[in-house]
Amino acid sequence: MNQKNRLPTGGQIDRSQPVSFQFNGRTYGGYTGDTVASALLANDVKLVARSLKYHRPRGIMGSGAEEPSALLQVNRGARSIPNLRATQTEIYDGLKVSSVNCWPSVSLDALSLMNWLSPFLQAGFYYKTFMYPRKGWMFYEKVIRRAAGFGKVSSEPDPDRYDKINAWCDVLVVGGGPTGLAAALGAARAGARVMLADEGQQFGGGFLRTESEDNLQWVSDVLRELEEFSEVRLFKRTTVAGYYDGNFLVLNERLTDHLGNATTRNAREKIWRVRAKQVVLSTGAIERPLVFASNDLPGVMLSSAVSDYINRYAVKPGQNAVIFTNNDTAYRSALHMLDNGVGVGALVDARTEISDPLFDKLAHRGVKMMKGSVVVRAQGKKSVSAVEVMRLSADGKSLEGTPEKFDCDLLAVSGGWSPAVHLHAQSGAKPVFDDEKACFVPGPAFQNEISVGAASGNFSAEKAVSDGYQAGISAAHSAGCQVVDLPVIQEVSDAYTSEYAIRPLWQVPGSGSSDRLKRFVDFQNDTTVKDIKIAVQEGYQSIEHLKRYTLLGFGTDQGKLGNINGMAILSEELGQDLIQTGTTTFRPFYTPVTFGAIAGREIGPTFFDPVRKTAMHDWHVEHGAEFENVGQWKRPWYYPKSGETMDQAVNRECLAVRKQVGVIDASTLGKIEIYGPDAAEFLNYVYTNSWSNLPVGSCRYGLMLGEDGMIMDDGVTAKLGDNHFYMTTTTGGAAAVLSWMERWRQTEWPSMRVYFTSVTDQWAVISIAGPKAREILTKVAPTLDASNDQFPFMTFRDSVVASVEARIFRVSFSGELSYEINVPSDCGKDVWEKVFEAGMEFGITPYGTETMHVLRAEKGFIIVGQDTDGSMTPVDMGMSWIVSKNKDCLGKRSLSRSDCIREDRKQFVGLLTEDPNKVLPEGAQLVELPTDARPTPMIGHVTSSYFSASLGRSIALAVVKGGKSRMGARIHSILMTGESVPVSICNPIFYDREGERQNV
Amino acid sequence: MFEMAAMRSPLNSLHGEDVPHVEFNGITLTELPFLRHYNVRFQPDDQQASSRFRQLLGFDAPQGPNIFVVHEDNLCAWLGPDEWLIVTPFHAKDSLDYALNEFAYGDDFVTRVDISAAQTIIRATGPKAADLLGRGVSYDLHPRNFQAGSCIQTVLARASVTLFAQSAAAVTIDIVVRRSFAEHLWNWLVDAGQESEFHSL
Amino acid sequence: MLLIRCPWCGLREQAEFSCGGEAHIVRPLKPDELTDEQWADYLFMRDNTKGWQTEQWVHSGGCRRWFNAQRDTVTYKFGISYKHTDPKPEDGD
Ligand SMILES: [Zn+2]
Repeated sequence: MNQKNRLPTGGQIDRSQPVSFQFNGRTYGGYTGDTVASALLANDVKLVARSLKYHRPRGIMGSGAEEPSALLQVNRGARSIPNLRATQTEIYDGLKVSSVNCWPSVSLDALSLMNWLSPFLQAGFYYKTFMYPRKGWMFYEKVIRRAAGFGKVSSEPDPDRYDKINAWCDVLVVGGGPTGLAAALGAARAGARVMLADEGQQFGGGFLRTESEDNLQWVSDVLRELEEFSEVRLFKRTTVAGYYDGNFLVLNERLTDHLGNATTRNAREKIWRVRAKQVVLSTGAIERPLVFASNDLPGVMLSSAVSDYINRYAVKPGQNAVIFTNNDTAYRSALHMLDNGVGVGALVDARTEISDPLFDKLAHRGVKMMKGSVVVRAQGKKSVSAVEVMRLSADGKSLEGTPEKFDCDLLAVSGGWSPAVHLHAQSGAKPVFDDEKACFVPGPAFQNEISVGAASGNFSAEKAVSDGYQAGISAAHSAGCQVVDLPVIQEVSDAYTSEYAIRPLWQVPGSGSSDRLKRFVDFQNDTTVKDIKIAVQEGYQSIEHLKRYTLLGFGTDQGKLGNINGMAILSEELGQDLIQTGTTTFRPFYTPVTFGAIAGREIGPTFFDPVRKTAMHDWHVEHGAEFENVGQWKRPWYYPKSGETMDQAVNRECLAVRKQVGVIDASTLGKIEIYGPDAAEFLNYVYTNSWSNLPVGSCRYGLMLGEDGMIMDDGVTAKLGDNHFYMTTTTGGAAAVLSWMERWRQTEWPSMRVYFTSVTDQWAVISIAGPKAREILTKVAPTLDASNDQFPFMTFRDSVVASVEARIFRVSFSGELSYEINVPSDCGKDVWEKVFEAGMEFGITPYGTETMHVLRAEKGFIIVGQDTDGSMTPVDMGMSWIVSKNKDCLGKRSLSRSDCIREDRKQFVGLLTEDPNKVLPEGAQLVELPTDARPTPMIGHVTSSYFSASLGRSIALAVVKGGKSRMGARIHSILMTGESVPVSICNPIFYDREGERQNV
Repeated sequence: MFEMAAMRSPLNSLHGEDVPHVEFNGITLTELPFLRHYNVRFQPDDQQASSRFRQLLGFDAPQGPNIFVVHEDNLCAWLGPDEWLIVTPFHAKDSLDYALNEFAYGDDFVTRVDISAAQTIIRATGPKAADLLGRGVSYDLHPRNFQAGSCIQTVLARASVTLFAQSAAAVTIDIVVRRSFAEHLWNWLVDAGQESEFHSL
Repeated sequence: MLLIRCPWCGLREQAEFSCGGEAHIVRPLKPDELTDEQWADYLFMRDNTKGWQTEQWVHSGGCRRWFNAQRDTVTYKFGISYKHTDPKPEDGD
């Protein structure tokens, strides 16, 4: 395959494994070990993208996470993924990728017209232009969104699995370059549990872009030793994406994407939730671009990336280069180019004093060395073809002399290095500005972390290795490892050691000819120097505001290349120091993480939230129940017979309970055993009514208030023995009630002698209700005297039901004669079946929560959380009778607060529609009179509403301002459709107002 | 009297029949159904209760957190400063019942609650079992941290659980889970077991 | 995700805990005798400290015990956790 820029030898690619892939529909060749970026460069593809706003041609600028422009859409059907950096996307056979931001193609971009319109598209253009008329935005937005935007996601379900795991370690080392490898080795030799993560496909970091065989040998020696430690885990293709409180870090490991279409059982990605005792940040540094006219042309590349492509990937990114730098590191790249057949026409250095030992060497090899000079402009249409060079004034503010032009197809730039302080900053620490090195370096640690090597502003490889090793050892020591005489680490040597000297150069001053050309600061967001100037003119001073006005630092790269230059230019414009300007906030993630990885395995109906089922669940399924989610529980909603609608089924179930007998699974009620000499006293505090004189064997309804007097929960509690109670709570309130009681007992009344034990899951509850309930009970519990005299309403009995020991409570939520049979859940299904069998001759009908709701609404029984909403007192709900006057209880004092005794509070009432067939929607608002006046004063809302088969008409419960004193009043309910329905206020008890039926 | 055939475990095995059991990647999951579980409460500084406990059950309830003890048929785990879990095989039910009844008798601040039907145990076996559980447990299950005899109340896959390290190097871990969460947890464990990479910690 | 020390179980992940707000708020013994204002003060008013604050926490996903813990509301760092039977310690680590 034609890879005209591929070097004949060298590199970390596997030449025995050629790979073919597609980019924008054309097929190219590469090798395993290539990234899309290196393979495209090998094939002399320079134009790879169009920019966000102006649709300008863009090429590959970097070689790692910093790449702002070369973003890919990987096209794999449901596995498609947008915005992957070409510089970090490994190629495999059959890979299909395209540019994310161009239409119809990169070289013929229909929207490049934007570039011609660009004088109108400066910072704030969208804000200013599309403000008026206000309604216009609805239209503008559609057009703008089509033109903008990064990539596409698949609308199909994600076919992959994503793994997630927790891990603990003594030392987490972030970044597997020389520093990180040395740190991991130090920690490992000290006996620590070590994790070492690197985002790339290979460990070695900066060593991979050097020409030194010794360095590569050093890497493999260290790796071989690390692999021998059983408590050391090495992670490739793993980004430490976030650093949170408590030395908690999130790692994103990419397991299968690089394998392409090969079959694998692996999850696609894995999230590691890591608790590290100590963290060593050896994240390296990111080279900065330089800011001059048309500095975004394809062919303009970071000098470190040039070295990467040459040494690591054996690719020449150009034939004739010019180098533009303000520091020493580009000199090494110049050598790499020359040694590999890339001509270097000129080395343009903004500095006048240069001590780099390579200076003479390069000059000797024919490179024109231009001190105190800058590139003012790159020329070219779709890629760079020449540069203009001028002299920079001593103060760096202006240009001198006449432009000199150099032809080239590659411009290697180095504006200095910025330590990758992202994780350090995420951990809560504040980076500080180092004037000498002209970069932000880590400040004092806030958590247990240390930055070493280039990440700490130390750009020397030799020192980085020894510092890294020491950092690893001391991290292990801090993590509690016993450190005794450790061997020294194998040294690395550098033939061309130089000090890191830099002349800060945040922007090249304008020259007459290039003033109208754009000088880009943030390449991904097309933020230019001019945009920053406009923002300052318009009064923006804070870097955070500037960011939002100019988009500087937004996007998938989060300003890895552009931010520091942008901050510095803002500082210059404001005439202040960079440290005063400060940085924007570094937030997770370091690079984007897929939603699939974040979601992990907790997705879909099975795993998003636990599904809780009762012991009788299978029976309900077998009998055709439709289910309702009540919290995490699945409860039978209704049991439709074939051909029945929900309404028909519910009407049938309701009538069966009122006329014969029904059975409902009430197992989900919360149940708490309360035991101890102070149990009754405790109940006096948590319930509004008194529990002191309840006889053993009796049950009582109780209402629980928050300390603010608002209804919190309710339920029936039985007295099992002298010190022994059995409390039931609402299904949804079970955990909260237990926690509430524990809290008061443990924190406020620790001397109260009472224990609570949750037994919700212990007991299956079979509730039979209806006139024939007693006959069924007598059949299944032959030893029990179930007569009204012996087993009256609101009592309980221990007995044997269907040969199982049971607790039977004679309570009623339907207003009918009713028994709640509690048996151990192990036997729940069996007893349920036997009760059902026994009830066949009486027409027993299974019923669900919908029927239960209708029946209780007919009786005016409230459901906490449906008829109340956290703002209703017992008085509001017409339940003053249950608040004991003779004792204190939680929330009682609040009931006499001025706001709680207002006459016009919303009060619980019944509602009857004038049309008996009209069923109001729950939640419908209530008003006095339908009116066009806005806002219409609301006087309440519907809380429950059903069709009552027993009454042959609709009924509703509601809360209405001052409703209790307005019986018979005619008000109106307003529906979503705008329709107004006249209703009259009535007593909330619609059926058997005297409560005789439950007492038979 | 119970009819044995009427009992159904949380994972829906019937008493006396095959219990749920799967194997993958060298990890075995199985339910230990129909054990008898009791929640026992007394004050740790109540000398009389403590000595009565020792006398009737033959061992001391563990006084520290995160541990359990095994004595003959009974396993006893610390759940809180005044709360323990005792688990015993079905066949030993009557003798434990008797001992606990005696223990609670006549003392108005000592109690036990039968919660046998409220929870079950899923046993995970194999040197990589801890790696499987690590997918849902934030606690460090490294053998140095989770030694034999450790018992940890924590959250696994959004279910509250108690984990028992039944052997060194976490080769056997018993997971006590509430009945209504058992199916969810089982499904979750089987799903997590689909991963191909498991490591010994 | 913070690590919180349960005075019984030791260091556990935040997800196992629930916060109950400011600690050392004593429920008045005779609420009936309080004015509305005094009751509202107990009910609603909190110090909302910037810096070290003592809070009630419960190890809901573990031993279900309530305890007090110091937390710095600026840095989110946790200080000492202690049982209700222990005396209130000094602020800070
Ligand atoms: Zn705890």
